Amino acid sequence: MSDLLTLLRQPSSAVAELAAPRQLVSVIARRGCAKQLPGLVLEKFGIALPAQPKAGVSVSARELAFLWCGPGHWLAMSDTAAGTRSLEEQLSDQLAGLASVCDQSGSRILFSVHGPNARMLLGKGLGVDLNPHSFAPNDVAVSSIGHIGVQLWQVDATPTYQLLVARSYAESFRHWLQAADG
Amino acid sequence: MNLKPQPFRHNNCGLIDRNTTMAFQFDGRTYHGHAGDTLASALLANGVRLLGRSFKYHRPRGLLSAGSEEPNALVELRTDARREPNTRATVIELFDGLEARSQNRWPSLQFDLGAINGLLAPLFGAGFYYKTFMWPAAFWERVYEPLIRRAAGLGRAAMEEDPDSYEKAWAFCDLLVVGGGETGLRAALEAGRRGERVIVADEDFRWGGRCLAESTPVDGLPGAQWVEQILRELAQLPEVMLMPRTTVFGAYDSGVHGALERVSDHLSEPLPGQPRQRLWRIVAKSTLLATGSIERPLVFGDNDRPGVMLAGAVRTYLHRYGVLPGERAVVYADNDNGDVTAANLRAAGIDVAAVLDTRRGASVVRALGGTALRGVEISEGGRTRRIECDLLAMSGGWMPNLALATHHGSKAPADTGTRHFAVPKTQRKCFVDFQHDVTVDDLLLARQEGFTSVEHLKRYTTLGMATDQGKTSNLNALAIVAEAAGKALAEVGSTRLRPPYTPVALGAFAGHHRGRHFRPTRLTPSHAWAEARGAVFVEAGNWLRAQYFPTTGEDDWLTTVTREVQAVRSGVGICDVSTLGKIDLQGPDAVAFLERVYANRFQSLAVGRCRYALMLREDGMVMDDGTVARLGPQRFLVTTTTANAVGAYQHLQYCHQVLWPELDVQFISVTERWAQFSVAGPNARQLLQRVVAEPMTLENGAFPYLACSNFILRNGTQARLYRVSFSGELAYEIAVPADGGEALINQLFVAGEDLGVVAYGTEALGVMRIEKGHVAGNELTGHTTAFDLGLQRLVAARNEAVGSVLARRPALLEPTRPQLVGLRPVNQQQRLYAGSHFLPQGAANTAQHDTGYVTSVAYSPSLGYWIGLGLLERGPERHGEVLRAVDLLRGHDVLVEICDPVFLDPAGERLRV
Repeated sequence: MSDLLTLLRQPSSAVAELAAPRQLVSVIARRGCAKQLPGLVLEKFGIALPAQPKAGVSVSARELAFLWCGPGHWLAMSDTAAGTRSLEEQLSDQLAGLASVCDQSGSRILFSVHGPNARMLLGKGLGVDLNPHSFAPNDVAVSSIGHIGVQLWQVDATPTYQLLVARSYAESFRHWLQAADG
Repeated sequence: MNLKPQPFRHNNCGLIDRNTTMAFQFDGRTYHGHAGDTLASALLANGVRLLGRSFKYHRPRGLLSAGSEEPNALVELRTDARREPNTRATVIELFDGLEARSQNRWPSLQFDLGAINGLLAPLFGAGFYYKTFMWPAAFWERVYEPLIRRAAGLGRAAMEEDPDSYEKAWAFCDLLVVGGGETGLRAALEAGRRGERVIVADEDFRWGGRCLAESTPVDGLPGAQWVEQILRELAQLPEVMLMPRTTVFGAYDSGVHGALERVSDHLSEPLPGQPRQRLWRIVAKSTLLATGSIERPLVFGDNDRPGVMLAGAVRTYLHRYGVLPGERAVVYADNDNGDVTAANLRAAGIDVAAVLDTRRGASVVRALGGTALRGVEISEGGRTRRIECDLLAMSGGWMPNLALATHHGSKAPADTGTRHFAVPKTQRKCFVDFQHDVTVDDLLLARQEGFTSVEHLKRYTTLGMATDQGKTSNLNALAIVAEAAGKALAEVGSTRLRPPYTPVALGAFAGHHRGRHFRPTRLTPSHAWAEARGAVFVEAGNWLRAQYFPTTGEDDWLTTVTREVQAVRSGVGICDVSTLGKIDLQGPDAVAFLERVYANRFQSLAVGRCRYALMLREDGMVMDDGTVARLGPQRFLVTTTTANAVGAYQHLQYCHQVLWPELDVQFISVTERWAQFSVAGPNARQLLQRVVAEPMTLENGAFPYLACSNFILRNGTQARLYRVSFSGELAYEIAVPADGGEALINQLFVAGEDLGVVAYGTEALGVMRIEKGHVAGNELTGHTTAFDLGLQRLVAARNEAVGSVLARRPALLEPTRPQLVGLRPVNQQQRLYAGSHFLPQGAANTAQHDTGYVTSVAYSPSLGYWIGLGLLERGPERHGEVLRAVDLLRGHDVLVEICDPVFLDPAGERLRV
């Protein structure tokens, strides 16, 4: 028997609010370009653009990752500072003609839920099966928790999950997390 | 401890923990029971057999069953804020200190004055409330209904706020087994051994179902031992999850099930940090209903007397709880359960006075006694006689419990093998639905009156409509109706059960979402800043927006708002407008797309310029408005109203994905990306010039009205500036990435200190837009067209845009339609009220004279009197006319002069300075 119910009665999984990636950029394939785009992204950025709800991560994940958001739609994340050329500008240049690119930096708050209770805690609001048979590291889900939109992906098998939540909803989401973690 | 004895507790049988004794109260008297008891079994052990009064006739009632199907033994559980009415004593797990009260009786359970209803029974037959209380009609609401409600009472709900918390959770599995009896446990083990993810849920607090209630061995072991053995093996399977005290109450689409886990109901109150109940949504690839069966009662005269019980329940009380439900029993059945029960009773030392089997020509005519069973009158071999007894164990056979299957629409399979259903000839009431007091006569009367469809019959007699949903009565009722019609059971059909299987507290459905968590709240980038400045906030959809910013000495909102408006109009003010919907739109077909979703044209919009935009619904009514800024040849920034931001974005997605997927256009919401502030007033340019980096100049020539541009702040932040105005003043909207919003507003207030910069909220925003005659939510009601709002010139005469064709329907261009006007009181001391209707002077206050209504009003600090906007028939032709603005609800009748809706700077010179 799983220890699910026992876990629900134990307080505190490791919940943390992290600094959001410094740069976030929406990338949407131009009409008819969804097939050419992965090749170009691989060539220019060394990342396999996921066609499924997954994260495509560069060798050093700090540099760049692409989260699947929907068909032909990704969120590029980078934790490097914009410097002289922002990620939006780089992507616009490199993917010109194949994708529309739009800066979203500052629009999201990043939360991390980690540890043996993580699945139980998220299960109090997330209608996505996080069992290892169904959801593995690098898998992505676009869903909602407590009427708040979330984009979630699994970082490692500990398990660790990260969730992006719209900035304006962050305070309400914190309340939900506190109540669920009670 | 000196404990009162439990006179009806068997010396050794039963699965209760005799070492743990618990004290509890029923109707103020203290009794004792054991861990493992239900309230019902503990009361029976103490010889308490009268537990409640019936719904309509206030008949004395005892226990019919030992499970969640119980229709009689409904009690109020707990006290004060935790008081819960209509809980079934048969499923309440006993805890130390439990307090319960009988309900629906006065002055006492033993002597209930309401029982007089039984003598008035001829008045209360099927559909009585449709027939009896018809006249005079005015009496229904004030006299009859309150009387009926009081007489036909259920328990009393707690009036205090629920002190407990509830939570929700999701679970996923390959196989959901509903029911943890022999079948369910075997299935779970089988699937679990194959490595499947299994959830087993059972409403009971102890696993085993009828294994605990029967004397028959399972796999050669006593039932309870067999259950322990199988539970040990299930515990070894990591993918099997056992959920006791969990009722799967509904089956929904796509394998989703609703389940209620009673986390803390077996405790006097929840442990700290624990919810009272948890509402599960269980998503299962397949579901096994191992929900067992419910025993059918038999129907005879006064078959509701306390002491008349289902035979299966008698065996449950005996074997599981070690309780003797009576001292002298009669067993009555139409199947083999009779003999089994008799043998079990004898083995427990109970005197069995008779075993009556309809198959052997014996039947019960009526039960004898009042608040307790004293005997039965039976018919055997054509002769009737009386037998003394205090327990009648009856069985009409078992019907499979298929409630969850019918939630999906499948009808319960007709039991074609149903036996002939004999109802004895007797003057006494023969109950079919115990909880709603529906008798055989009611069913026959309803049939006689033409209610032959079972669904009609159900509603007319209310059979099966009580909280038990007719678990013990539906099939008997169908059999009686079929018998009367001379039809087979399958021909009369069956009624459908609906979720929830058993009642669920509303708190469980609400979960976390109560009080301020009723819905999530969105905070603007400057929220903390505004809070620190003492702003008063207002809810706008999910958003909290600053409504106004009172300063010391300002004790009413009008003073504050007036000051804010004057400060903007004479200096400069700042308002957070980040809540406006913002959409980044790109692609080769961006212009084509915009010209289809908005009524006006964008081809001619130059890069670096903004334009007002009007979105129509398919039917030609105005849906939303906003601005479109051209950031590049193929890139636009579209804004929507705060209220419609989500709806407008969905509409654009629909238009693109469904109507015109061939257009090469991409768009994404950037509402969360930008903190955006309106900087308005004659000093706005001077203020902004202080924060933008050189060489950006905001001079009119370089950055005129309706210009837009990317630029850089002096501190290096990327920003955007739009020269748009809602206030009618020289105004800009400045946008920075949302995480820089608070820094920017601080910076602006530092930079503008000597310019007298103020913060203004949504109230001042509203006042200024009314002074300028701009329409907003009060005018964009979904019933108004561009023509009505005086925006007709914006609607291009073409056919491609959504709504442009239907907006040209002749009736929508009739001058008689209510159209936008301004209004001001003839006596400038008088106040105006939104919602007032325009009536001619001297006309009666009737709907036929109504010619329109006031949509928005404000006190205009610029003009020194109240002004308003309204929709008036033939409005534009009637400037100068004097009408009455009448509000009958609040008692206002004000003479108003109709005027142009633009009260301030009609030429727009201030915008362009």
